[in-house]
Amino acid sequence: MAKTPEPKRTISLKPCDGDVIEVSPMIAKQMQTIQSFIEDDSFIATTTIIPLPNVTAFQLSKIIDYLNYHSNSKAVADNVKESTKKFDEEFLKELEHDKLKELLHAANYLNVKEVLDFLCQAVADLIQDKSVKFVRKFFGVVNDYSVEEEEDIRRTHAWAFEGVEED
Amino acid sequence: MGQATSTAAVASRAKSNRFSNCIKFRSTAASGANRDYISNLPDECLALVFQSLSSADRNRCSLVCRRWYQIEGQSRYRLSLIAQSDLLPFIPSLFSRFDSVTKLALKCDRRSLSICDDALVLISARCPNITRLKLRACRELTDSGIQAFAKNCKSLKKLSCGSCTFGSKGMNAVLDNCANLEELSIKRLRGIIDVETAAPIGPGAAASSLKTICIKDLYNGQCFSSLILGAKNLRTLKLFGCSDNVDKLLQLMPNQVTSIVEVHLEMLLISDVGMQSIANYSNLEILHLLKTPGCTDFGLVAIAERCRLLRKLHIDGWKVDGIGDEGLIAVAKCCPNLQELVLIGVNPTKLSLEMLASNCLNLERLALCESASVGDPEICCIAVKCVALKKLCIKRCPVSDHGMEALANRFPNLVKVKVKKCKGVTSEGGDWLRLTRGSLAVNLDTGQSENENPGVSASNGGAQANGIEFPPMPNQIAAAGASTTIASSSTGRSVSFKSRLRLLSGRRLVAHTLRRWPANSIQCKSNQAGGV
Repeated sequence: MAKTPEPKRTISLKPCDGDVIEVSPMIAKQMQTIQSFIEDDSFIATTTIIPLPNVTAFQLSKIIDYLNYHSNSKAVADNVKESTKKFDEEFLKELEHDKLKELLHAANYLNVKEVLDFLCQAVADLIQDKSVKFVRKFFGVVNDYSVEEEEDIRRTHAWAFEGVEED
Repeated sequence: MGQATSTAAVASRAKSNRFSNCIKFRSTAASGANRDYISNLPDECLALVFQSLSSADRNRCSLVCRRWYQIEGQSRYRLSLIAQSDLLPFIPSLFSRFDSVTKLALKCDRRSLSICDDALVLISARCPNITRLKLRACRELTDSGIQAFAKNCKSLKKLSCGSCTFGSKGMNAVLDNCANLEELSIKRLRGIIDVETAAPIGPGAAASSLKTICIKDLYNGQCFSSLILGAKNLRTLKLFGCSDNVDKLLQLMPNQVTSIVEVHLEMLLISDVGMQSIANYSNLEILHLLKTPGCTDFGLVAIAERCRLLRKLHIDGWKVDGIGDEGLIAVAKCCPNLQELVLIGVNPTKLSLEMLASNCLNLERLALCESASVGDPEICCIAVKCVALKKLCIKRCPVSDHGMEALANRFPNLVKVKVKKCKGVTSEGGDWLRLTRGSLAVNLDTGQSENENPGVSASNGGAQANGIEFPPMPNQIAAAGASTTIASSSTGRSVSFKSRLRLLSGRRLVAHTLRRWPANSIQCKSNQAGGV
């Protein structure tokens, strides 16, 4: 740790729908968006409250929760791996699909790589081996292909790609 | 993947969420109003999600909507195409859709007409950044197609080709143009017909970049000698089923290639002379000697005494008894770092096993297959001393339920045990083992299906070369063309069969070795590491 004077030990974050949440600089640093705030000259740790209009208190606390757990369990022993896996599973279990997607947005907005990677993997796990219809419904995406276009792409898939199963 | 997407007890866990208690929030604030915002994941996030999906899943995702199609295309680095001749007209559209591809696999099947040179040239012109290329059964590709490819894709790092028909000119073009080539894997290259007239294959510009060379099923493997000898920074050498004697090559190697750490030799003519030469590589960490009947204890002792950093050793003795206690005792004495030991068709006795167990304190994975000498007393004896052992595989050995008892009570760190086709072990014995040690993953069958796949073989390491399985093609090419290809390919194989046989018998190898060849072990589709 560098010898720079630290007037205040926490960073204040204000989600769009709740009270200010204090986080340690260690955690804040992992959020690239916050980090750029902190690096700004006008930032004064004691008084500045960073507003996060795109993030709810729930999302913010989930992300902090995740980062807290993972930064505390950096030591790699077998049983630590096990409990980390368990934590990750629990973390996802508590999230409904909509919440998961919202959280992904929040993680993207805050630009937290660790959480982003984790959530993207979780989403991938949810849509793997699923039909196109399911994926559209899951993400609420409207099909903007014409019937011919879609047929065309399917035809290419049918023979040009290796290892493609039927829907 | 098992991120537990559907599990019970969600509700009860939610209560224990440490944050839900201390922070008040209105959880539904954003979800209802911002539906659109939520459905549209940012491009980078989508690309990240796609990265964790298989190509089949990615293809499905591209059908979701236009935007997904675009993002999926731009973020696909790895592409695998069926390389039939009628791919050609689609190449421009495919490669403008996937404009970031760096890893490309072009796979055809034997019954179909493959892509031709034009197709490969077109691809290489559109994707100059390809770093990995895999070609399978692209029989219509010739030297000139490969030459053009090599000129366009100079950043190639890895080339793997199987059952292709181009020859030394194509090989040389790759080696001359791709100065970053690190890995070269060649299986059944049929373009070098006449060894005498073929140009020698030299390391070219890749001389110092090549790290791994794998050569498999070539009956003119000697063409690659100069390449191997010239690859001065080579670390891994894998030779499988090449019909020439490799002793000479191995003898020349230590003077020119000094940094070898991994050697795989399988179905080869190699004797202790070659083994002694390998012993010069004092940094050797991984050695596979599979079905090399010319190797004996003498050679193994030489290697053990000088390659003291050995970590993984696989031996398939082919029941020739060339390698036995003496060699293994030397390994036990000299190689304290040994982590993985796979013995197939080798007959070690208590003597060597006990020494291995007590000297190699890092031994974590052990496989004993087709060893007539490994019974209950032997298992008991290693059970007492092998403290670090995590995975154990026993296959076709005369062990019984009694040996299972030793397994259950000893081996403090054992996590996984596989017992296959051991007649003396009953399912009760297995059940008992599971019961006594609940934490142990037990995989047991009791030796019924005797005749399936007798050729247990250690992992040959050429993993990429093993995965040549072609999925059924929806669009088969005209039957006429297909049948000719089948005919030619099958004769091609039987010729190589016979030539190898003749060669072996010419060298007067032990008679019973020969009898084993036709017994479908020659194809040696290796089971993964005998289970380790």
